[in-house]
Amino acid sequence: MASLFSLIKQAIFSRTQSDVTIHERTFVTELLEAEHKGDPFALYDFFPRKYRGKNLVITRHLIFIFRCIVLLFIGLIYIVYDLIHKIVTGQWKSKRLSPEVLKRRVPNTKWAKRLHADKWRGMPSSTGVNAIIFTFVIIQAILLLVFALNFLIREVVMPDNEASINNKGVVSIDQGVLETQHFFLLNSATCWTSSGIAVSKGDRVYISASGSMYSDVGEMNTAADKNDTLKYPRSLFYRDGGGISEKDVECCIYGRCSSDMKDTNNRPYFGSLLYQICDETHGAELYNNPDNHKNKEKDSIPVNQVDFDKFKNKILADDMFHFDADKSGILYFSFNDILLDRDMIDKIVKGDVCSKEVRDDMLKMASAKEVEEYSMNKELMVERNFYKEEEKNLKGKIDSLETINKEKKSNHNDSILIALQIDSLEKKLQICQDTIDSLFLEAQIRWLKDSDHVDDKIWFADNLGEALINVRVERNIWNNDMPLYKKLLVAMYRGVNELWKPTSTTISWWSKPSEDSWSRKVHDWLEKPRHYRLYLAILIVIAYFTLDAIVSSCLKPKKCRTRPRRRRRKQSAEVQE
Amino acid sequence: MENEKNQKPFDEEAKREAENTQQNSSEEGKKMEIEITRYKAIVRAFNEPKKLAKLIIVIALIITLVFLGVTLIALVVKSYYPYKTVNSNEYGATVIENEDNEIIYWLFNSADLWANSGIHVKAGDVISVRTSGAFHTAIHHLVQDAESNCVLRDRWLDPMGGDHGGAKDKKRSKYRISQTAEFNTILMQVMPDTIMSLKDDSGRYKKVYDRYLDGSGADIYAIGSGKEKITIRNEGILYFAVNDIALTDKVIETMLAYDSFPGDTNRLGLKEYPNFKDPDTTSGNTELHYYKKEHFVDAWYVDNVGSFLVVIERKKQ
Repeated sequence: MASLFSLIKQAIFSRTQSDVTIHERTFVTELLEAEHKGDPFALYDFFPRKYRGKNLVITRHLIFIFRCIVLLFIGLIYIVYDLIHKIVTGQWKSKRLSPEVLKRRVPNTKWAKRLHADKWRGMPSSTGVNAIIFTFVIIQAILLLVFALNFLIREVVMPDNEASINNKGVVSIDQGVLETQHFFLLNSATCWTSSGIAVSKGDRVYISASGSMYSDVGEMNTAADKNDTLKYPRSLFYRDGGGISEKDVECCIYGRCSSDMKDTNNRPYFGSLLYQICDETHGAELYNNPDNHKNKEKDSIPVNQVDFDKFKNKILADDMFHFDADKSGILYFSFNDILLDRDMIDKIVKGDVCSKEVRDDMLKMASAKEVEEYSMNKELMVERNFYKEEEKNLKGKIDSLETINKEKKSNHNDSILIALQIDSLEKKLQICQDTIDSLFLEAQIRWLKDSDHVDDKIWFADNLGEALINVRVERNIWNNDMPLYKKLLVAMYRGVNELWKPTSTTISWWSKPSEDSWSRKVHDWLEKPRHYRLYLAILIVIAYFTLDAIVSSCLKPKKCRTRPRRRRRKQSAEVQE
Repeated sequence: MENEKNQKPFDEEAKREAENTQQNSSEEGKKMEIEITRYKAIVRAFNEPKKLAKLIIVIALIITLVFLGVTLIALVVKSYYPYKTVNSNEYGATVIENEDNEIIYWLFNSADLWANSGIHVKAGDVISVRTSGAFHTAIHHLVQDAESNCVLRDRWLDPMGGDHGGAKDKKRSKYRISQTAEFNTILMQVMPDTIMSLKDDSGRYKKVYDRYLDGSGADIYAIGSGKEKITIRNEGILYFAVNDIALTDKVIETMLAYDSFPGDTNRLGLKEYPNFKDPDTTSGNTELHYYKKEHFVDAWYVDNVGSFLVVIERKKQ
């Protein structure tokens, strides 16, 4: 500009010009009068018209869809721009345009020429459309930054942290960024307690617990009285607390279904903490029953076990047990114990799934007096009494024969005959006694199966202990009513946070390598948070320089591009000639 | 510098334009019209879609970088100056963090001998611990007394603990974990964080950790119902137990040596070897012999009933 002004000054002083008029054109004027270059949908040129790649993911159809979306966006801006342009230039008043304007408005492209230049009359310059796109992007960027700062201050650095208590006594504290921390006391003597904590599909739920419980207060009392060891170890809920009990686990609510045993890394154990998500109106399912789910496709298993040791020693510190909710509902909790329903009574009687101790414990509940007095057992008792009479008779006969045998010792043949008779009578007596036992057992089972006699949760009621349960729920952002920009911000924040405080999910790919290998050493080194942060810092620096390189290549594409080999060969051949 | 370089071609262009105008005007009778096109470069950039697209990509990258940077700053600020942040550790402790302190809630069952809280402390940390709750030292006594509707022979104890007044308790008191602290009061210990579990897979205590269990070589703090400003001496994890007798081999041997003093046997009021078990006649016939054989270190703990809520306040340095 300085050279221009000096030229004007020179012209004035040398008096070669008698009159000098300077016109300074405004940005809008320049924009409106810009010549056409390229299509009105200018960005269209940026994308390849023919795609020759063999990528399986990026197909021509995908490119076509992408182009359509971009064109739709540009088209919308174009309409707005056209309207503004017509109002500013006063075109809306007169239908006829000046030849100069018409000349400017015919795009100078092959495509436009092919489609008759006349059709393009009245269309504004692509420069204006691009200017609007650019302005739109700049405004969007500024808004995004403002929203991001507002979001980080209000949701991350200084969240509201409102505390509330629900009708189940659960204390809930909002943590910002769609996270809520809940804690409550769970008594071990209840089977499936509703926490009142609502979760939605896709939410990530973190669980931890403190305290301990013992599953048989009667046995605890007896052992203490006799100075004996406990039958089962106390349940600390996590395995590395030591002494998990896998005994009789096939009778427990988590373990009785064949699918419960499938996960070899999370085998069911007695006294573990269980959870399930279910609709509060229907209530919790007592155990995983395949019959309830066989008609539904891909139905998830409702009852699951909290495996507190799942992520321990494998990943970085502070990683708790967590899972992603596969459906919406209320969280229910229970401890893994035996539910004495009708099916389980049958299984225990058969002795297929449990130890003899459990079977005897169960039969102890049905005392002889109660079983005999039970109205449904009348027929059985009549039959049993008949056999009892028979037993009495047989015993009498045996006794009398033994007495005769003792008295008549002289006759050897007679004594052999009597011994044979006693033997056959004893066999009959044995059969008779077995029949009496089986009849009594059947009567006991009938008595036990009557819901008025035995509560199916009776073996939960003798649990002693409680647990302080912590539940943190990270809401699924895509299953939420908040605005899209906020969803994006939360997603980006979680991504950064995951890197900052990684969970096992973040580095699940980093499987525990074999002993004495270099990768094992690296893995062990990374397990310490301080080292991980250093590693993260190095990654960020590398990422920064990579982005810097991308930005530089975008701004100065010529520097980054190399000449095509074919052209170089051609040029070198020309030089040689 | 870069801007100046970019400016040059445009200046030259303007110069050429001015020269042309000058030439034309001299031809038309000394009249010169100059048009200054200040925004030509920007307009030209807008006219080139490729350049515009690159510009948009650059802006998007810059925004992403700025967001990442600001988020990292926010996370660093949050980790150093947390604002009422609530978290929990893998052992179920609820941690409420603030700018200058953190408050930790954790449930401790009195039947556990050295229960792991998962709370990591460093040497020099200053913490305050408060406890609430009550426990009973013998479930069988509780049941028997409840059944017979008589006054409890062993009262429920608060976190301050206390003995039951018998001569037996007094004689046994020198074998408890901390001899200086009150019987059955709450104790805290810092164990190295290399200890993953005090028990083996069968639920029995590992012999290698006996010195931590019976308190002979451990870093123990008497807590009771609460203690202010405890300065931690060693780095590690906080464990809790009530001050009773942990029956490690060493403790049992000391007790048996005292008990078999010539002419004064069973001074400690030991019960006999459980009658339903086969006694090991070569070693002895008291309950302690059975506990030693089974390595039943927490034999006098597992019959406790009751839990305590432990609240730990840690000042940030």
